[in-house]
Amino acid sequence: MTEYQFGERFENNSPSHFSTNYAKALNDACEKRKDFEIISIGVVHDKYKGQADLIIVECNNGQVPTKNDLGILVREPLALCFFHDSKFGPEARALRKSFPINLIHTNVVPPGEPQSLCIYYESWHAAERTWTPQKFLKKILWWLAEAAKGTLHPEDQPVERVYFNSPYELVLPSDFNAKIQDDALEFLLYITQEKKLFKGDFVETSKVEENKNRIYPLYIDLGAIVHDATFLLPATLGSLDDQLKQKGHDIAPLLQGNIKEKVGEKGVKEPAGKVLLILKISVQRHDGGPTESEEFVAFWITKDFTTLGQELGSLFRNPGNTDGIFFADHCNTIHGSAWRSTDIMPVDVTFAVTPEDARTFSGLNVGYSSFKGVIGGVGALGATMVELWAKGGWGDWTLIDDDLLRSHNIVRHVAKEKYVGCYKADAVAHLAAENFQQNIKYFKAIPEQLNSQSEKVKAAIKTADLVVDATTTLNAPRDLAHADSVPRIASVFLTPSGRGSALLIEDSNRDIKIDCLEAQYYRAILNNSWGEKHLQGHLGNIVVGAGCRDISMIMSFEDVSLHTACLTKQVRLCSQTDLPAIRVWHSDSVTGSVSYEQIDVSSCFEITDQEWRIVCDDGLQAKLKEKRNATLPNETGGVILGYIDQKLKSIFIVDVLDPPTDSGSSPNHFIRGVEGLNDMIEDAASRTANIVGYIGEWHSHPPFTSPLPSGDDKKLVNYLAGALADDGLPVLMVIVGSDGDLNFTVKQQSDEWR
Amino acid sequence: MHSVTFYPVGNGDTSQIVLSNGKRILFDFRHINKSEGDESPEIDLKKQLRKELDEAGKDSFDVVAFTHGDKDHIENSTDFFELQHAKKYQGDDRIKIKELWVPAAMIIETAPNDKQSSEFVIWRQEARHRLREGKGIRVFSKPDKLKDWLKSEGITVDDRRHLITDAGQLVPDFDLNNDGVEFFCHSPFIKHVDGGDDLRNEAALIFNVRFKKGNTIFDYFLVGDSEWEVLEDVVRISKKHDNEDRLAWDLFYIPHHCSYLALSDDKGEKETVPKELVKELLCKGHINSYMVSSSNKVKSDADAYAQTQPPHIQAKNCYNNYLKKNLGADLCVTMEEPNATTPEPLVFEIESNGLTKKSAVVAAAVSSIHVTSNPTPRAGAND
Repeated sequence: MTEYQFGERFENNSPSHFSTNYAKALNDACEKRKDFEIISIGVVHDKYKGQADLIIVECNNGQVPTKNDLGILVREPLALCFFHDSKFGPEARALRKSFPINLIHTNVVPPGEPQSLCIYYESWHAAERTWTPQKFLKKILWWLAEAAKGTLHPEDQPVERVYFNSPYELVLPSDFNAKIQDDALEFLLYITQEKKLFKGDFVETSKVEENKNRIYPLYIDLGAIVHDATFLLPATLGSLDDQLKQKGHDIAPLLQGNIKEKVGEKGVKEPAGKVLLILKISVQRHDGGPTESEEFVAFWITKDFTTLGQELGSLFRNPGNTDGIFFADHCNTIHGSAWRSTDIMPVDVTFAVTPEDARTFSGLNVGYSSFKGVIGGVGALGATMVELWAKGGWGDWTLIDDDLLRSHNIVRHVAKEKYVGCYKADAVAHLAAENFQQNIKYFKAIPEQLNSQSEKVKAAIKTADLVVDATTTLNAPRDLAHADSVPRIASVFLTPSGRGSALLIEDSNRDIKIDCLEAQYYRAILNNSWGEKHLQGHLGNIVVGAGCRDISMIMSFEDVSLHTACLTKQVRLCSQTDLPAIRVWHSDSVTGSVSYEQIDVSSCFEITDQEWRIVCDDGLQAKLKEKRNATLPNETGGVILGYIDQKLKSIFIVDVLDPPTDSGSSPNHFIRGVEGLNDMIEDAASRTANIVGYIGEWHSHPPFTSPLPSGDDKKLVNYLAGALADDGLPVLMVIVGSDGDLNFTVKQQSDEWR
Repeated sequence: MHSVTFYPVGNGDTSQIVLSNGKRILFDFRHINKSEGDESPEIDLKKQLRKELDEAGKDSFDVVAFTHGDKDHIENSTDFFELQHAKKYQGDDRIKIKELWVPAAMIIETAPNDKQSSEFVIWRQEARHRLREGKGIRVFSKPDKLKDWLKSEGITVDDRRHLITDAGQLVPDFDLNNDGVEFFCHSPFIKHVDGGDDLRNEAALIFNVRFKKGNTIFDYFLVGDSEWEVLEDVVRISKKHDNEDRLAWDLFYIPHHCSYLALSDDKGEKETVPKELVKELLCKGHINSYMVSSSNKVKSDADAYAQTQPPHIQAKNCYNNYLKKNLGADLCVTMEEPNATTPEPLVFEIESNGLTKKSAVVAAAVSSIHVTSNPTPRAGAND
C-alpha cells in the first residue's frame, strides 16, 4: 500500500510536540480507543492555513462493508491535522494513494495531496462549540462507513455542485445566455473593489475600444455530466483537460473552434487581452437521466489571447509580417504541451438578480435619539433594522459584519444590485446614510465579526449604550456576555421558517446576562404549545450556513420585513425601560396576524465546579423545589436538559423532567426509570434545533438531610460520567434538599484538555 | 442478511451462523456455570441463546455441530439440549436439535481416557442413537472403525451413506442458491480417525463455509481445535484435488484459541513462523478479511511470551503479520470485544457489499442514549 508523504514526522510520539490543545486531546482520546491506533505524530504546513499538528492514525472501522464497491478499506491510514490558527477546524486526510477519488463530500485540496473528508455539516466556527475529540473520531468512522455503503448522499438531497466554490466569483448579467450568442455585442469584465468578485456586462461591439483592457470570453456549452464527486479546482488548463476527459469531454478542439470564431476573417492584433473561459454544464443524477441543474463555472486564463491561440494551433502570423496581426489557422496543429501548462484561476459564476420592485415599509414616526448603538450582523434582518432606524432617525450606529454582499443576498436584503461585492457593513452603512444629506456620519462600518478581538470592534462596543446582536448564531452574544466593558445586550433573530422571531434583552444593570436569557428562552420553547413549531424547518442547527450539505432556505422578504418591523420597534421600546425581556412572535401567513408570547424572566445564578461554570436561574430552582415537595416523604428525580459550550466551559441548565412512570422511590432512595424518556429528550432536541439535550440527572433528598451527595449519589455520578466519557462530555448531578437548597456536582471522566 | 456470531466463552468455542432464511447452525457449546453470576466476564451462554431463540420465535436449532468432543466444546450442553436417546434429557423447555453434526470420532471413540467426560459419553450415546434411527444426524468421514460399528449394530454402510459426508464433499442439506450457503468439508480424513485413539483434535471438523448474498461470494474458513500438520494436509489435499478456491477466506477462525501449534511445532521467541503450507493458507485472505480468535484476552507482557497455555502472543503476532500483508481488516479476540471488561457476542453481518461488524454503538449516536435507555443506579440520602 503506497501512502502520501504528508508533513514531517517526529522521531517519537510524545504529545509534548503538539502546539494545539485539540491535538493533545485527540491524542489522549485515540489512546483510549481500539479503533484508532496512533502510528506517528508530526507537523504539516498548509499554504493557506499555515502550520498544523499532525497525528497519523490507522482507523479500524468494523462498520465498513468488506466488499464495498468503492474500495474503502476497513483499516485506513489517516492524517488528522490541527491548525495552529484556531480559525480553521481539524481535518481528516486519507493517506492511501489509492483511496477512492470520486467520493462526494470531500474538501478542496491542492493537486497531489491526500483527500480531505468533509466531516462537518456546518462551518467550523459553529462546529467548535460542540466539538470534542471523541465525537470527531466517531464522525470519521461514520463518514467512512456511509461513504463505503454509498449512503453519504441521500436520493432526496440536491445533486452535488460540479465544482467547489472558488474564492473568486464572476457575476454574469441575467440575460447572458442570449447575449453571448449576439455578434453585435461584446462581453466586458469589471473588477469590483475587493478583487474577489468580477462583474461582466455586454456593450455594442462598435463601441468597444480596441486592445484596451479587453477580455476575451471563450464560452463552451459542455452538455451533460453525471454528478458524483465534486471536482477539485484545477490549477492549469492541462489538469482541467484531464478532469473533463474523465467525464468524456475533450476541451482542446472546443477551445480551438471558439478562438477561431472570435478572430473571424479580419484577424486580431497582439497583445489582444486576457481570456475568461466560461463552461456551461448540465448536471444529471444518473447517466441518461434528466438535467437537474445547470451550472456555470469560469476560469481566468493568465495568457494573452493570441499566445494561447498560437499554442493551440488556432492562430498564426504570416512570417515576415511585423504588424502583429494573427489569423485563424485551420490546420489545428497543437504546438507541444505549452497550452496545458497554462495557469488558470477558477472563478465561481453567479447571475445578477433582477431588482425586486416592491418593498413595503411602515414608516416609524420617531424623533432622533442621540444614543450610541452597535449592531452585529447586517444580513437580511440586521440591514433592515438599520434601514428602519435610519428612516426614523433613531441612534448613532456602528455596523459590524465581515461578510461580502453576494448577488443572491439581494432577494432578502435592503442593499441594491450595485453593492454586490462590497462588505455588507459598508453597503448598509452607505445606504442608511443615503437616507440623509450627504456625508452624514451616523453610520459607521467595521467589516469584522462582532465577537472578534480587534481593537476597532472592542472600542466601538466599549463606547456604546446598547449592542444589538442580529447575527445568525447565538455564539457572539454568549462570548460577549462576560467580556469586559460591554454595555447592555439585545439579541434578535428570525426563526428558520421566517414566520417567527425572538428578542432577548438584558436588564439595564446587566444583572441577568444574555446567555442566561438564552437558556430561559429554550425552557419556554419546551414548556409551551407554540414551542412545538417555533423552530420548525431547522436543518439540525440554528445556523443558516454554507456547509456543503446545506440546502438553501426559502424565506420571503415579506416575512423578513414583517418580523423585522416588529423587532425593530420592540428593541427600541424595550431599551427605553430597565427591565430584561424575552419576547417571541409568530405570524400566520394566511390571515396575516402576528401573535405575541409572554415569557417571564427569572434571576440567574452561577456555580463553578471542576472548572465548569454552571448557569441556572431562580425559575428552575423553584420548579425543583415544587417537584420535591409534591412527592414528600418520598424522594423524586429525573433528567436534566440543557447544553454545553465547550469553548466557554459552561453548562447551561434549561429544564428538568419529571420522573418517568417506571421510576422507583422511597423516603431514602430514587431510581430513575425510562418510560417515555427518550421520546421527551428527542422532542426537546427537535424543538430547539438540536441545541438542548441530556446533560445529567437530578433527585431530591428528604427533610432534615443534607443536599450533599451520599455514597450512592457519588456512585451514580461516577457511573454517569463513565457513560458520557465516550463523547468526552461532563455530567451534571443536581440534588434538591430542604427549602429548595441545591447541590451541583459536575463530573468528567476524560482528561482536561482545554 | 446472513450473520456469523462468536460468543465470548473464554478459552473455548461457540459460534453460530444465522442465514437470511432463518436457519440457525450452532457450532460447539461452552457454558461456564459461574457466568450466571456477575463475577465472570464470560457470557451466560444458555441465557443468551435462549434470548436469541425467543426473539426469533424458535425452540430449536436447525443444526448443532460439535467440531470434536473436548470439554471446552461441549461444556454443560447436555442439560441445555433435548436429547432423543433417553427420557431424562427431554422436556423442561430444553432446546431441540433438528440435525446433529459430529465427526466420526465422536461415534467410535471408546478408549476410557480422562478426556472422555461424562458429557462426552452422553453425546456419543445421542449420536449413536440418531445414527441407529437413521435420522437427525450427519457424520463426517467413514473410517473402517465406523463401518465396524455399523456392522456390529446390524446396519450396512449403504443404509447410512446419505447421512455421511467425506472430506472433499459438500454437505447436501444446504444449497448456495437456495440457502445462500454451502458447507465444504475439509476434514476429518479417514487416516486421522483410524490413526489411533488419541487423535481427537486431528479428527475435528474443518469447513469452508461459502456464503452468497446478491452476487457476492464470501468464504469462511471454519476450524475447531486443529494443529499445523492437519492444516498442511488440508492445503496439500485441496491443491491436489483442484479445490484451492476452498482455501480462500474473508473470515478466518483461528484454530485452538490462538495456539502456536496450529502454525508450527516451534513457538518462536517473538513471533511464530508458520510452516510452509500453513503460510500458504494464511496468504489466502482477501482484502478487508477478518480473523477471529475464540479465546481469553491475548496478553503481550513479558510473562505472556513464556506462557504454556494458549492464547499465545507469538501466534497472534504471526496472524497479525499476515493480516496486514493481506490488507486485512482486523484480528478480533472474543473475550476482548468490544472490551475485555464486559465482552459481548461478536456479530458479523453479511450483505452483498461485504461483512460488517455489528456494533451496539451507532457511530452517530450520542453516548447519553445509553444512560437514558437504562434506569440509573440507586441514588438517595440513604448512605
